[in-house]
Amino acid sequence: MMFRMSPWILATACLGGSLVLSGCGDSKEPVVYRIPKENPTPPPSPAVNAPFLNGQMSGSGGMANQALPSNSVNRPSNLPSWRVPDSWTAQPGSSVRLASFAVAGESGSLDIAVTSFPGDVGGFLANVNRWRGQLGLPPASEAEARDSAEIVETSSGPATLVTLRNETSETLAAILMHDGASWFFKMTGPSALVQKEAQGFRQFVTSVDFSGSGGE
Amino acid sequence: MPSSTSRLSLYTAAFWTFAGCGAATAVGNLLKIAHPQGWIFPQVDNLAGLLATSTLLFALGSIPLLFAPPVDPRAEKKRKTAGSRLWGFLTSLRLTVFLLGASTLLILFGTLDQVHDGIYLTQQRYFEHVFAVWAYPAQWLASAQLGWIRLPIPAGYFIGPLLLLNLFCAHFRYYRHGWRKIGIALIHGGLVVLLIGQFVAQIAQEDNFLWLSEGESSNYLESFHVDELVVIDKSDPEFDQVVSWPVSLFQRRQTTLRHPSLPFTIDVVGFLPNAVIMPKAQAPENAVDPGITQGIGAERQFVLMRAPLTFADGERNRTTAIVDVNVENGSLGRWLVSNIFRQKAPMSIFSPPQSFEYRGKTYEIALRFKRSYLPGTIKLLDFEHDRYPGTEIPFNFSSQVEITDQKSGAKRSTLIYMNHPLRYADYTFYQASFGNNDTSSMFQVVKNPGRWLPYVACAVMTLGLILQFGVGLFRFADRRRAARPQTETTEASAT
Repeated sequence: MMFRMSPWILATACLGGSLVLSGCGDSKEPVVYRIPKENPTPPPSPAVNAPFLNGQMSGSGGMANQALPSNSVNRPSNLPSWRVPDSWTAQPGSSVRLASFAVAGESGSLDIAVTSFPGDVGGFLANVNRWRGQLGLPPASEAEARDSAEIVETSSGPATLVTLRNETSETLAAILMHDGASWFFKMTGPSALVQKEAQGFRQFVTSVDFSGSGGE
Repeated sequence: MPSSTSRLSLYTAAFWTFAGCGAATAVGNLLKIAHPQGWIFPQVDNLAGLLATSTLLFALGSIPLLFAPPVDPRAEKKRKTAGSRLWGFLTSLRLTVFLLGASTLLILFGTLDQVHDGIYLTQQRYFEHVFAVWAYPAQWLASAQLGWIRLPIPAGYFIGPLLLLNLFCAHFRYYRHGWRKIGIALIHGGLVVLLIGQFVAQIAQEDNFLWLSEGESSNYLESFHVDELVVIDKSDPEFDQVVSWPVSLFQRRQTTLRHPSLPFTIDVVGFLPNAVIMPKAQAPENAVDPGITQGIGAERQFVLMRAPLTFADGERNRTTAIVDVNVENGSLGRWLVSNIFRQKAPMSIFSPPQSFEYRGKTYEIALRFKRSYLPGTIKLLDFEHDRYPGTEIPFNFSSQVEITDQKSGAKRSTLIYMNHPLRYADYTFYQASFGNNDTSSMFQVVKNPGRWLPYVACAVMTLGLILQFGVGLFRFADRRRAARPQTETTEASAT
């Protein structure tokens, strides 16, 4: 079948039609609908109704990181495994802590916290100065902050360990970057007790492992 | 100086077209009509680089004109109208070759960018725009010297419609009636259906996901990329009434949202496409306090930091908005809403719903992954992750699910595993991921109204190819048969 058609009409129709189709997308008007009553329940995890960012994986955590068939994708767990020193006592989660521990001593008690936030949370210097502020210390320069820091190797890459102290208290803190998020491991308390537990804290930080099962 | 009537080679036309795409994109950016959600002009970070590259392309394309002999217009035998010239252009084989070459370049640069930017952003940038601009990657050699290069490329919405038009026009110009040409018509028709199928998929396809743990059931899917702001009227004992606004309504400017069923308005006073939310006590000094007075944000004294958008596979932007709920004679407070407040993966986060009461009714406000409700419920009975014996190498992932129809209550059980998706209620459920020590399963759920078009296209093209080659084969055989008696007669007379 052969017929004549004005090229202008054809060109306009086809191009206009395709551009109109290309411009279609989601409606920008509100949508109203009714659904059966929903009463969402918290996931069955140790931290039921956990506050924001106290995310706990249901069960014991991680997904395997293996070679997979092409149409399957593995999503890594956000909760690493670690070895907790025997002298530490696990505490209930609080506002943003993924894990919390305490050590009781004669001169007071230690507070150990594990937190995680997306991105670099302002960077190394901002976080060090935040901790310095918590100890009543003035802000430091980048060079001064680096002087109090050392790199330690964990099972999941290098972490920056910082030691800060004032007249009575001391903070040991480690920053580990993983999968686009910053992980903070911080131990704070009386200087004598912190120094006594410093080795245990280092071992705790170096044992952090994202490839295994969930934390204790 | 070459004559204005010199004939352009394909080489020149190609370079000038690319340079023209660059000029158009630059104009779009200068006039500030290019924005991330637009589909015509991409936003360019280095306009000077784009203009420099476009000028270089124009210069390269002009080189042959310096050597081409001018064409004497008096030698033209036939005076052409503008319409006939356009028709000649649209039916030209050179146009087809140029468009196919441009498609190859598009796929090449899209593949290179996809390594760093993920599939979703690459698809948007190269295939869902009229123009695209490729930037010389910082990871490549000599990036310090060549990092200014911004190569303009005609993108999917430029090449696709033109290719379709070219195919249509060429078919009507060259087609000759007869059964011997049916094969060609079918091949072209199949190709047209394939291109149309791709357009339908691009504009109408929905990509959702569904995370279920063993024993858990759900009656809705959540979108991979789209978020919604919802106000839910919880006052009815049996039903929830949901008013949903797409985030695209207010992501570019402050907006007041209203609906006749709601006795208040929602003023979106702030929007962050990706945010870091943390308590003020833990936040660095440059975090912004949006002055939240109600809900989770007030309770935990949240402050915000803007984070760069991410489109990498497996990552999700934390879409966040600051909204004022206003009534006739006052305000019901400022709320912080974000899609991070409740999610199942990669980390399980559960925050209580943010709700308020007004005129005796209870309302919940939230910003969440856009939901699509199913006509039934899907329950994960069992997830299996099989490995080759004695190894950790997986060979199978499968999910046993039970579907319960909402209206009839009828149940049916089925297995979803690799390359065997479930088709239910216009959705296709693919086994996509797993977690929680093999006790949770994630399905990628796709709705594509044109999913059958590629099958039709392939069937039609296959039939066309069989007919075309079959006709050709028989004609060849006939010609050989016809020629053989003549040859035998000649040989006989020679002996």
